Amino acid sequence: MFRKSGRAEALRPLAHTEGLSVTTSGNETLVYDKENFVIHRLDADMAAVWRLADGTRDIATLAGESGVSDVNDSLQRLANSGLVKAETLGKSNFSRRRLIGGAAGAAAAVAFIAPAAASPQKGAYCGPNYIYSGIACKDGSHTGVWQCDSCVGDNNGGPNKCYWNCR
Amino acid sequence: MTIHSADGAVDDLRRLGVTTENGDFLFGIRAFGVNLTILLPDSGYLDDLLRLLPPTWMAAAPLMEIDFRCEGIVAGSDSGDSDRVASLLKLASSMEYAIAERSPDHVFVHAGVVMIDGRVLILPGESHAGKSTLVAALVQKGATYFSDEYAVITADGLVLPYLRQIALRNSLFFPEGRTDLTAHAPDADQLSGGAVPSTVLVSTYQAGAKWSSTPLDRTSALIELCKNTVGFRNRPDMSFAHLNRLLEYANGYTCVRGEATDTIPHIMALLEPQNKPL
Repeated sequence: MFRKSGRAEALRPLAHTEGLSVTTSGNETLVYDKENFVIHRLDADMAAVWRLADGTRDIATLAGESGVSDVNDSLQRLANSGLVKAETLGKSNFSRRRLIGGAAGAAAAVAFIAPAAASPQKGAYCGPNYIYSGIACKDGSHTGVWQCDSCVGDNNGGPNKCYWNCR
Repeated sequence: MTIHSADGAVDDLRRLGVTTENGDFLFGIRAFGVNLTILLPDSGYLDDLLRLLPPTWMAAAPLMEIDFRCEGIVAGSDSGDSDRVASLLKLASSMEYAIAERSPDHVFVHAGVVMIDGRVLILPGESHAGKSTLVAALVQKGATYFSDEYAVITADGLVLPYLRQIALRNSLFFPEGRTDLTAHAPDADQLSGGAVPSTVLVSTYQAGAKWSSTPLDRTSALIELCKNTVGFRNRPDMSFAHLNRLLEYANGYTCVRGEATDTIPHIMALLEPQNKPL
């Protein structure tokens, strides 16, 4: 993949590291993206590549230092998750469409962390069609606004929480 | 930490409270390391609210910044009892959520929690996900009641009871179906430091479904707990740390279940000693 372009050898992948909270769980790593409110689940290979992708190492060096046999696969999945800056992988080598359909199509598993309960905020009470207007959201490639699809709680004084979805 | 508020707390609360020129009553409480200041239309509302205050509450001096006002109740208005009840319940729920979100030392997970034969079961799930029903059914079968709303997790990964005086939805205000779960609560002194969790069970209810369960890998269990953690967005580092510690003790399972009564034997079986984590 990256090697075929000829210039891929010079690419120096750069990971996103800001605005993240990281923990390990067994041999996996969870990365919480504070801006997009998602948890990324990285296997050991992805985590090793992500930690080393600081923009100073080319792909061959990344492969050698991480010990990961298929660095390209890990990089593609990281890029698909937004954890490696796509531009540092080169446009010709990074295609979202290809990632989705290709062998490395599976992105890191993610879990969306719903917004906090709206009850303390005036006007943010739960309702069946309530739209939390003004707050944009991003779910993968989709952008929209948070919508409260259904209420979680007691309509007569419960927590007024919502099952939020990015619509 | 105390599980139940001391008897003198009510007197302290009235003593430290302030009646304003408008007749409003301003008072403060502290629970799980969080101070809250609440404004009521008058002190007469306090008697009902006392029964809804968060577990472990203690009286505190009210602060200048008011956290919550009991809105929707106007003294002398024609508001019926239902409005009054709704406002008090909303206030109580908001207070609980604020404490869960701000507690400096504990992580609050939306979950039912019971202890069966010394083994602590955590049932993560949002309100109205059926966890209260499951908890009540388990307690009726002899389980010890910890909580039907929050699993309170310490930095060591232990679980503290969250013993409401009355369940909000099955409260004295709505006597039908009320179950006094606190009668089945653990010994406060013994569990003041928290109990070792044994099992995390993520259940999905399907009407008429037959029970089926599968082990949940550690990372998936952690993610499920994160998704149900109050205020995870505001403090992911702390949440990760507490929940990771919890999973040093507990096994995770996921299940599809039907009615609560049909589910109980299967849950009991999950907690058998052979499923004890290594």
